[in-house]
Amino acid sequence: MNMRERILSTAANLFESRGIHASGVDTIIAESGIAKATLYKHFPSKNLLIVAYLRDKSDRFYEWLNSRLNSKKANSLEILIELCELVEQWIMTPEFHGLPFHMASVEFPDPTHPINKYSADLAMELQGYLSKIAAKAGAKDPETLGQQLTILFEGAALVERLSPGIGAAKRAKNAALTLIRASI
Amino acid sequence: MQQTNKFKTINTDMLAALDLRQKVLASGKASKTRLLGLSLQLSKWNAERNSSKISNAQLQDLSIEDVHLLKEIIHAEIERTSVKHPDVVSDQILFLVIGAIQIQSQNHSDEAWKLVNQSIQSFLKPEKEKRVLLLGSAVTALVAICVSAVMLLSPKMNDISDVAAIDTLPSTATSGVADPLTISALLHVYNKMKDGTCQLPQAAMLPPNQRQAYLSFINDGIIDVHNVENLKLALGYVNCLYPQELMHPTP
Repeated sequence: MNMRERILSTAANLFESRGIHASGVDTIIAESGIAKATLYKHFPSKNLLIVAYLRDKSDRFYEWLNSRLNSKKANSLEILIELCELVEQWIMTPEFHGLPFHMASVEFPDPTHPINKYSADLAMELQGYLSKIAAKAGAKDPETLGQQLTILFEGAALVERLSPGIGAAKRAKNAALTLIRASI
Repeated sequence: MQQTNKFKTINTDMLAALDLRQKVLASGKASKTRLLGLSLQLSKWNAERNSSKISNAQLQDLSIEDVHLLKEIIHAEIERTSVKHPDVVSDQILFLVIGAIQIQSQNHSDEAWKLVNQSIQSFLKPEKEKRVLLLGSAVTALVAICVSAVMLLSPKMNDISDVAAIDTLPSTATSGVADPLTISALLHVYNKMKDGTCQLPQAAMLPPNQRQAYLSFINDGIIDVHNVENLKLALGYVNCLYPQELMHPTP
């Protein structure tokens, strides 16, 4: 793990366990055991560190999802079913602390703030990703289905985070499957 | 008061203060109207809190009490309907509503609520409307089947006119050697069959000589100039009816 990754990993742990505002730069420096200058060399401001954290989380999510989605099913309903199962798995993992961009937008509610703007971009990115899969699967209106799935998964992610283990992810998967079947 | 497992910035029962249940009940009698009323109340409330709390305070997330309250309201309304799989539909609306609150806070647009309303509308179509739709679909399907059957079973006008054209050709063909007009008309029929504009055959019922002429014509595209009369008779009977699959060249 290089220095940048080390800082990002420490910041991610702190952001997800304490919240972004509550995790000051000094705490990140202390927890990662690096010099202040090193942190600022890689991330000149806390905002840039937050943006890098959000980007990194999204990239990892899509990488994980893409590696598991069976390309043989790309043009069929099965890929959407598989997607729902993967999202359920992802929400159920112990490391899941909610959608990072949602958490960031809650902490930075001002729509003119760069973090809020970036969070909105990432939410759109998720919607675009889901719409693309819906289009490949032959949905009648892939854009709408992508939006509906995004909203539903965001809702499920919050409920699962608030009350882990009550089966929100599974119920959300079933609800998503109903939506999908009605859209093909 | 309850805190979530990790975050300190959680309030509780924000929605309870809204007197949401009463407002939803007051919004109408039908479940669909009430759920649309719930959607309206929540989108207004969320838009207000988004705009009033952006100064420096953090926008608070929903609490588990809020989620329970929403679940109870939605579930109660869905239970009143005769919708199939009420639990799945309740969950769907619940997750969509919660997701819409979050997305509205992220992008400051009420676009997500439009999709929530669309879902409510589509899941809670009145039974009468559903029945009318079903009946309409059944009638349409029946009409389509009848029309298709009539079209399939009656010979096509073009086919009849093609064969009629063959019949009106000069009788030189009967002398054993076909004239160019007959050959040309037969080739025209052949090409039409190849294009797939013809229907199913009664070729099996033809007399042997006619059947042989017909099959050579169909399978190999051969117009035997010494056997044109049999071919004409065959085509007169089957009205150019044969599927084009047999005409595909063998690999």
